[in-house]
Amino acid sequence: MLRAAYSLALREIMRFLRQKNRVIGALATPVLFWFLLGSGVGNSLVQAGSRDRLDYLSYFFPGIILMIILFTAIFSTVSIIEDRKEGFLQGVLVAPSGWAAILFGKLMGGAILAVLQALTVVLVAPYADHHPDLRVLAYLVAVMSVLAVGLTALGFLLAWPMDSTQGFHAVINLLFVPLWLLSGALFPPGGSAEWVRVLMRFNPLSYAHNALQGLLATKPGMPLPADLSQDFSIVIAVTLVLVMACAFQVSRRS
Amino acid sequence: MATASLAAVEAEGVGYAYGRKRVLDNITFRLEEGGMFCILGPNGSGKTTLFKILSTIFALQDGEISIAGRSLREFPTPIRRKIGVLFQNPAVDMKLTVRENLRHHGHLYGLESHDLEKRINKNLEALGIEDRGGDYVESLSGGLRRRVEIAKALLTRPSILLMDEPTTGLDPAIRAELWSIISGIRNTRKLSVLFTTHLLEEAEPADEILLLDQGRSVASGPVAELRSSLGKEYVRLGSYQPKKLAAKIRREGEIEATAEPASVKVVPVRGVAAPLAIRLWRQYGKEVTSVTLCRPTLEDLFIQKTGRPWSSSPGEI
Repeated sequence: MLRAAYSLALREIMRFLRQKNRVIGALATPVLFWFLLGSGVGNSLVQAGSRDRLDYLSYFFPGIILMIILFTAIFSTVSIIEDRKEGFLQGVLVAPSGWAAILFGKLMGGAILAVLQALTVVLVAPYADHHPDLRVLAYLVAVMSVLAVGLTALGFLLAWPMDSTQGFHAVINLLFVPLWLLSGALFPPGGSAEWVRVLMRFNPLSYAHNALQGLLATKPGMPLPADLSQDFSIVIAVTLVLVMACAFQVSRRS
Repeated sequence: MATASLAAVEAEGVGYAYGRKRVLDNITFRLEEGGMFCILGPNGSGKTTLFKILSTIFALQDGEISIAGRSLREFPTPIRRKIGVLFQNPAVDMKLTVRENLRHHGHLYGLESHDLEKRINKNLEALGIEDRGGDYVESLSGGLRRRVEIAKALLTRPSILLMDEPTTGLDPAIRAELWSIISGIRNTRKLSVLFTTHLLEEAEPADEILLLDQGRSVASGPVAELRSSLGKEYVRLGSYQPKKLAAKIRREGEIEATAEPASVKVVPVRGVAAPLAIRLWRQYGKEVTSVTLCRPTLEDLFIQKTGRPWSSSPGEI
């Protein structure tokens, strides 16, 4: 089973790397977003308040990492729909390795891609005034990995019963984009309307965002953020629930 | 009654419904070990549904199936190790090379690297694609892609090869080439083959066929037996005025003549068809465009059993 899952994950990564436009799109889009929004909104905030421009670029940085993980995880689950349509999935379904290999292969493949891409962006963190040391980096990788598995599982859960990628794009716009918008990635909950604040409190991504933000703000030598363990526990719990839901869905034979 | 030979696949009263729509009803057949079995039917006859049940994609609803001596209902996983499956839609990854596809497939079956590489080489060779191992599948022609699929299906040394419309979308020359490869493989390995097709001529080399129509078994058995059950050879006369000619021949007595579009079918009541063909040629030579000595075909069988020509199955335009 493990060998089969590993092979499926490896296939996912090889496919990704061989489609150059996917690599470029996945890396360039968030950086472009970061730069445009960070620069654009940053100036507006300067006029409105007292913060200087670098502050918003810096505020927006964890949100960008969240976006990379979200979109890579989701786009790698689109391949489930393609695999089903093209027939590749049938070949896997009749193999004795069974559904568990398919599920874990996809989750691992998607999550590894997401974390690797997020890490390449973390490399430029110093330009956003974040200076993670090795200890913080290790925690970042841990949070990002669990988050990536959770989001890939969410994508898997939604993609599995679908037969068209168009339908999946509608779900992305309707569900994933608002999840991201209401995670604190764009604006902190503090100054927003009451109902938005409530939504953000119930959005599991808020806790992931908070964890990433806290970690990135930790300067070398400073103690870890106080609410990290609480945030991380919530992310782990939600991920577990999503993975179990996937397992339940895939194990039912048509 | 117990039979001496073993069955590779045995199906008894198989039925399947999508919701309330029944697509298979009471299908029974048997593939002998080492034999070649064809499920023949026009589009929409239920072939692919039956195939999906046999290949463990769909759960068995009604009836019983045993594959390689085990119940499909109870032991789908061990059965998966015994079957090699070739789907109608390509099940290879276009973005991977031929070798990578085979390697990946081997991993799904728990094969280890050294043994796996040996098997990959052997199968690429058997399919005549040993020089294409490093090519991306998307760069190969349709015929070569099918060969990759066959190499993949045989990689795990199955005892039964299941193929759903294996030659779909291939031109006749490539189709013939593929069949000769498959028969070559059957000769060198102990392999039972079951395939589906909607092409009448493809069913001919099978030891036995199951003729499906609208989810029901219309006829089954060895091809030669089915043919002889249809009666004897006959003569077909090409004609511009088939009705007039048929009436004229009928007046002779002891001879059946039916007018069909652009031809007359003549069946001798006694004796054989060959001398009759010569006599008819001599006697009506000026009124006919051709004389053909015919043996009943699977198409005749389908027409006889369903009352419809092969090409116009319901639901098709």
